[in-house]
Amino acid sequence: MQLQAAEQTATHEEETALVERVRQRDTAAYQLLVRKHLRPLSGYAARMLAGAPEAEDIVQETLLRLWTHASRYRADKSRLTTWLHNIAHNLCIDYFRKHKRLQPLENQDAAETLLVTTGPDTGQQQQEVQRHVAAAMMKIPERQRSAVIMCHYQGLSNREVAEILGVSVRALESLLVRGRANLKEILEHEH
Amino acid sequence: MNIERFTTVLASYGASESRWPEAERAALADFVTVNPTARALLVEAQQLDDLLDTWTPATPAHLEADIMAALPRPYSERLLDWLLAPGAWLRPGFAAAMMLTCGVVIGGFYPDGDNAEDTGYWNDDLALMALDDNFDEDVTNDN
Repeated sequence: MQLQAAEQTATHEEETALVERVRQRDTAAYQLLVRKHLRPLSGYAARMLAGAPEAEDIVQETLLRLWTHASRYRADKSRLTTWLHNIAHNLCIDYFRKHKRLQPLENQDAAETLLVTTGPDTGQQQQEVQRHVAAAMMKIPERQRSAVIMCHYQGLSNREVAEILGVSVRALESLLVRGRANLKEILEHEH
Repeated sequence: MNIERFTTVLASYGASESRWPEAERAALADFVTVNPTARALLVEAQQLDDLLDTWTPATPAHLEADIMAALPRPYSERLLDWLLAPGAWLRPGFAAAMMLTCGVVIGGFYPDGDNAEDTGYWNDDLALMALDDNFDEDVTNDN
């Protein structure tokens, strides 16, 4: 536990130094940070938007803001991953507001999009399960979805997720309980 | 730790210890070892976790390159890249032709010695020629 905390501290210090270099317009430092955070952010946006192409735009915009707004990142307030997820979360919410409610994966095009994003080597049965999970995720409210995704997939602590959502930890747990319960009910009903 | 709090944690974060609140992790883990109900709830929560874990979207391979290419760059760098792009050998010539054309157009706005509207100088010259009895037409044409 102490070693893990020490590793996290070292990583945080390294990232803080890289962000400082980004502020000085160091593209090499920026690329290192992009490589580190691209996959988790891509996973978050893809799950929030069920693999819609706009998820790539959100990831790109999030990481572009690391370049244009690096001066706004406060290392003493949060980890860089928390800051980036905060940006990505807000961009997703903006997207939903503009596009009202995302439709569930009922049409073949959307289903095929999901298959592409999961990789060609995924077995057919597993693809079917993934499609059900993605469809179920789209049926729960966006805040519950974001809470579940960030807590389950993104490696963020409950305090970090609560900070991103602007709620207390207790309120976060309420979101998570309802979100996971809804998902369970939808998935059990479909199976 | 009690069964109510344990149930809430499982319902919130699932069955994986790594997702439980850090401050309560040890107490939760100990509770599982001594409470059969907790163990049963853990198995049930694991089922939803297993389903969620199947969803692994791939990261598009081109995304990193797209992000780096989208970085705002100084205008001078972008212009240089445009002029010297591979296969775009016409672009430097085009740029030079544009500058030449601009020079010609701008130069057309400035008067020179052959401007037909500027007749004052020639009027004086012709008057002097008329007064000269030894006026030589050939010499005048050379001027």
